[in-house]
Amino acid sequence: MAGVLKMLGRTRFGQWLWTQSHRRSWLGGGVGVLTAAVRSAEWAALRRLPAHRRHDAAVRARLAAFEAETRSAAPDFGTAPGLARRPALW
Amino acid sequence: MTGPTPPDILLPFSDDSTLFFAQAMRALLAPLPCRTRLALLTEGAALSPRQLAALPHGPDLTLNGGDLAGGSGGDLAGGSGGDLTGRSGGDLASGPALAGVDAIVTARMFPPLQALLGYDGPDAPLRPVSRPPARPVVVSFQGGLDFTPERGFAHRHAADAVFVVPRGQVAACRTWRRRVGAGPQIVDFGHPAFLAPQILQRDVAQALEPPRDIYFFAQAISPLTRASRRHIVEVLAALARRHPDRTVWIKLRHLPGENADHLHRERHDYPGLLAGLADAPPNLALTACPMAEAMAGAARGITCTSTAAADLVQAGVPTQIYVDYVENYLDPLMPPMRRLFGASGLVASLDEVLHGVVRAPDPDWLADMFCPRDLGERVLAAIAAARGSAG
Repeated sequence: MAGVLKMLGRTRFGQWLWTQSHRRSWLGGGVGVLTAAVRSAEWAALRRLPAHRRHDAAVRARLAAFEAETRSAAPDFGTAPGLARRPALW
Repeated sequence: MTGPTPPDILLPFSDDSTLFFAQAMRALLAPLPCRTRLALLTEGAALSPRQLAALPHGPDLTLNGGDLAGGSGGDLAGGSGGDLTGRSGGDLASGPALAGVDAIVTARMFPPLQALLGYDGPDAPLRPVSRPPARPVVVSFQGGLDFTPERGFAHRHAADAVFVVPRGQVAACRTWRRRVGAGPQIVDFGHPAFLAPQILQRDVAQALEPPRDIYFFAQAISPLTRASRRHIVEVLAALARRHPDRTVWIKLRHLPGENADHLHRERHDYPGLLAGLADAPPNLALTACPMAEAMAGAARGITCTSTAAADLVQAGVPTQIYVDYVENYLDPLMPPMRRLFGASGLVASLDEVLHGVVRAPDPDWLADMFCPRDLGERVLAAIAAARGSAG
């Protein structure tokens, strides 16, 4: 579906539609919703690929292990120097 | 328009990216025999008052598109085809904004600039263009690290001179020019964001003493997804918990909602993601301070994107480029980023980011990516050469 839309986007009609979608808000909204739906479906399919699932799981597991190491060392936030060296924006 | 008189150079900008470029170019040209003026293009401008405050005295000029394309004037403003070689440039030079301007040095081919050059859009056939004597010389820089260089060459084909990075793109641009039979006469290597660093890298031990902070340099669209950006916040929170004696800063390029009209619109802002983190450590904080201030205070800089990475390397800040984040496969900027920085020695795994393993940039990669520091002189030489060869 995404491939079909990309091909459509390269045609003269697709480019006319793209231009019109910027000029007419109702059409722009429709094209936006359609694009978002296609992208969402495409992303969901990519997330399900085994290699991608393994990558995300490995990264999350490594981060969790690092956090567990830190927590076991129990740093003392209350007395840490340098925390108020510069006011944070938020 | 020819002769040895110092050129009057216009530096147009309309958003933060092009403002950074214009300021850097003005700084490069400041000691050289020329006059520079920063010109804010109001058409399509996407700058907040906070971002404009980077210019304490404001822009030297404020132009609308018509000013740049020749005021009320003439057929060139329409830019709708025909052979430019024989066209009069009188309308352009007679526009009040461009009177006396010898050259326009730009990071982006703004629509009015395209109109000035008679550029007909990306789908129009490319044509050889020679500069009418009255038109200012246009020197265009390929925008930082362009992941689709040929598209960038095509956008700039009507400019008189083009500067590109990395070094290999000079040959690529010349080859492309021969193939399409059009393109700028002058092609050179460089970008003000890619000047060779004056020091290879701060000594890491020195960088740690007195204790400096850890900075993550954010960008609007990469990482792309909510999950990937939340993962970045979680990594930074983990670092903050591991280093309670330091502050881990998320250096924002935009405030939330700022630059809604920017080319790179941010969908998942870091302040919102940090607010949603249940157990955020107190030493993980947000800042929108100037880049130079952040780099001065950084023991190391972590980033996922090219512009910040280039700034960090140029400043000698120990740099880690992290592209192994969650859902990186959904980010179209990740593969070219990995390719471009693959030989730099700066791409860091999650383990290296978490444990602070920092390497110096590879010297060969540096020589290919960062240009000699005489860029200002070469820009003036390009302007002089183009003025001397007016059609």
